[in-house]
Amino acid sequence: MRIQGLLNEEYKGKSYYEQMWNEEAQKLEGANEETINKKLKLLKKKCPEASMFWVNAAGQTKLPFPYNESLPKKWSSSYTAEFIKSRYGNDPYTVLAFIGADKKQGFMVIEVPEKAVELPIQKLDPAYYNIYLGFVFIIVLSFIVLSLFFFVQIRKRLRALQTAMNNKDEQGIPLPVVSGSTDEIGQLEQSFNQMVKQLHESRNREQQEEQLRQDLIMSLSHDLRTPLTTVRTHIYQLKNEEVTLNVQQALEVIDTKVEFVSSLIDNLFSYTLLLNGKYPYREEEIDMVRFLRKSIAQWYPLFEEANMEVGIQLSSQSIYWYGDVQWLERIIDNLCQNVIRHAKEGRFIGFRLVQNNGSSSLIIFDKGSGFKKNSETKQNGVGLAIVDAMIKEMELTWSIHSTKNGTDIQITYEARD
Amino acid sequence: MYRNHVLYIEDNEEIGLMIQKELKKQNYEVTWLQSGDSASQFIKQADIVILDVMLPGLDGFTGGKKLKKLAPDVPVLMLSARTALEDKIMGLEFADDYVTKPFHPEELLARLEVLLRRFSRKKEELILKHLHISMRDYRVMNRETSEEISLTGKQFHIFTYFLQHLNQILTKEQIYEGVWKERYIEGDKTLMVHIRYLREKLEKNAAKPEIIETIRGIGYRIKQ
Repeated sequence: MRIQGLLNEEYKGKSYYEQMWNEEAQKLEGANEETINKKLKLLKKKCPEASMFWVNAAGQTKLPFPYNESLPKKWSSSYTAEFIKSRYGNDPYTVLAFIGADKKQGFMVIEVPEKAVELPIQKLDPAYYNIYLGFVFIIVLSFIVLSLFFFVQIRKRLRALQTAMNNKDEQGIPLPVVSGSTDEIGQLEQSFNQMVKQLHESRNREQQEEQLRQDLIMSLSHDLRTPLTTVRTHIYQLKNEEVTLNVQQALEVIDTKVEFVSSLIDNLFSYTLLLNGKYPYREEEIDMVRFLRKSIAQWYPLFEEANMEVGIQLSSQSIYWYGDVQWLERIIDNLCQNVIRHAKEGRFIGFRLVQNNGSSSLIIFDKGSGFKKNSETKQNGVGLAIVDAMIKEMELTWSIHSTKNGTDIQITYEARD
Repeated sequence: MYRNHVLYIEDNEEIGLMIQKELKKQNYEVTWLQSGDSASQFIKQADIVILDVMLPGLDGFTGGKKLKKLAPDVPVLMLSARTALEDKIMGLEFADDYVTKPFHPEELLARLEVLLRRFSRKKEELILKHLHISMRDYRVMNRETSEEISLTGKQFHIFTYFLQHLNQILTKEQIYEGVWKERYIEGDKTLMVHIRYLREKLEKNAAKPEIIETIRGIGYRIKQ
C-alpha cells in the first residue's frame, strides 16, 4: 500500500540536507571541476529528489544535470544576494555551501522540494484524510450497528417479558421469567419475578382464608344440624305421647321452624359455594321430559300432603337441555318448596314444558295469592337467589309473572348451535 | 317372627339413644356403635346399616365403602349433617340412600323400610286391599276369594318392582329400565300393555284400578 510505503521510507529532514551538504562541500577542498561534478553525481544518486548545481570561483554556473529553471551563466554578487533572499524560507528548500574552507573555490547549491522535507505525517496528508474519513465512517457505522443490536436486544427482552406477563398459569398469575443478566432489564425481570411470587403468596393466602371460611360454614352447618336433629327427635316422641291439642299445634310450629332453619342453613351454605364458584358443576345433555317426571314424582307426595292438585303437561317428544342435573334439581326443589310454603292455598301446582322455535321453556304455575312483599317472602330470599344464580350460570333465562290469582315462573332455554 | 337387624353407627349420644329407642319400638333389632372401627364385626348379622358421616376416627365415607365391600347385599343408609352436593354425590357412590340432618324420625323409618324391601331383606306378608302377598314364597292371593293369582314372569317382575318401591311414584322410565334393564324410548307402549294385563289380574275392576294407581303425566304407584 502506498501509505505503508511512505511510512517505511527513511525520513530526511531539512537539517539532514543542510548537514550533509556542508560536510560534502568541506570535503571538496581544492577539488577540480571534474571531481566536483563526479561528487555531485554521486550525491544526486543518493538524493534523487533534489536538484543540484554549483558555481565555481569565477562565478560560472556548473550544471552537471539538467536544471528546470534558468540560471545566469555568470553569478554577480547582486544576483547571488537576490537568489539567497528569494530562496530563504521558501520552496524549494535550498542549502548553499562554500566549497572548501576559504570560500574562494565557489559554492554549491542543493534544492530539495518542500514536499520531500516535510514531516512524514505531513507527507501523508491526503492518505491521512482518507484514513480519517474511513475511521469516522467505521465509528459511525459501528455505532449504528451497535445501537441497532442494542435496541433489538432490548426489544427482544421486553417482548419476552411482555409474553411472560401474558403467559398465565391456571391461577391466572403470570409465570416467572428466566433472568440471567444483572442489567436494568435483568433487574426489571427480577422485580417482575418477585411480584409474581408475592402474587402467588397472596393468592395462596386468599385460598387458605377461603378454605377456612368454607370449613367454618361447613362445621357451623354441621354443628347447627345436630342439635336440630335432637329437637326433631324429641318433637317426634312428644307427638306420640298423649298431649293436648294446643301442645300438638305448638309442636307442629316448632317442627316447621326446624325445617325452615335447616333449609336456611342449607341455602346459605349452597349460596356461599355458588358465589365462590365452588359449587360443583357437571354439564351434560338432559332429557327434560324424563328429568321433570322424576323430579315431580319425588315432590308429588308432598303436594298430596298439602292437598294440592298437580297438573302436568309435558311434551310427548324428548326435549334436551344442556346443564347440570343436580343444579336443575336444586332449582325445581327451591321453586316447589316456595309454592308449598306460600301458594298452598291455591291448591294447585302446574308444570308445563313447551317447545318454541329454537327455544324451550319450563313453566311452573300455581293459583296462590301471588308474591307478597312481606317478611314471609323475604325468608325465601336466599332460596330464590340460588335459583337466580344457578339459572344465570347455566345460561338460562327466567321471568316471574305474579298476580293475586297466581304466579307463573318461566325458565327458558335457548338451543345452542 | 324374624326381626330385621339394624347396624346403627352414630357418634352423637343423644341422637343415638333416641333413634335406637325408636328402632326398637318399630320391632328392629339394633346394634348401636359410637364409632365405625368395629363395624365390620357386626356386618354379617346386619340387614341394613345406618351410617353417620361425621364420625371420629374412620370417616363415614371410608367406613361405608369398607362395609359395602364386605357385604354388598346389605343396604347402607347414610345419615349426614353435611348437605354439600359433593358430599351427597360422594356418599351415593356406595350408599343406597342419603338422609340429611335434621331428619324426621318418620322419614328415616320409612326409608329403612323401602331399602329393606328393595334389597328383599324383608321376608314379610303384605296386605294390599284385597290382596295378600307373601314375599317369602312369592305368592299373590285374593283374600276375598282365597284364590291364588298366577302372574307371568314379566308381570311378577313388574309387581315385585312396585312392591320394592312401595308408596313411591315410579316413572315409566324407572319401571321399564328397572325391569327390562334397557333404556326406555319415549313413546314405547310395551310397559303400558303389561300394566294393563297386570291390572286385569290384580284389580277387582281394571277400569277403576285401586292397587296400581296412575299418576297422570308421571307414572304409577302402589300405595299401602
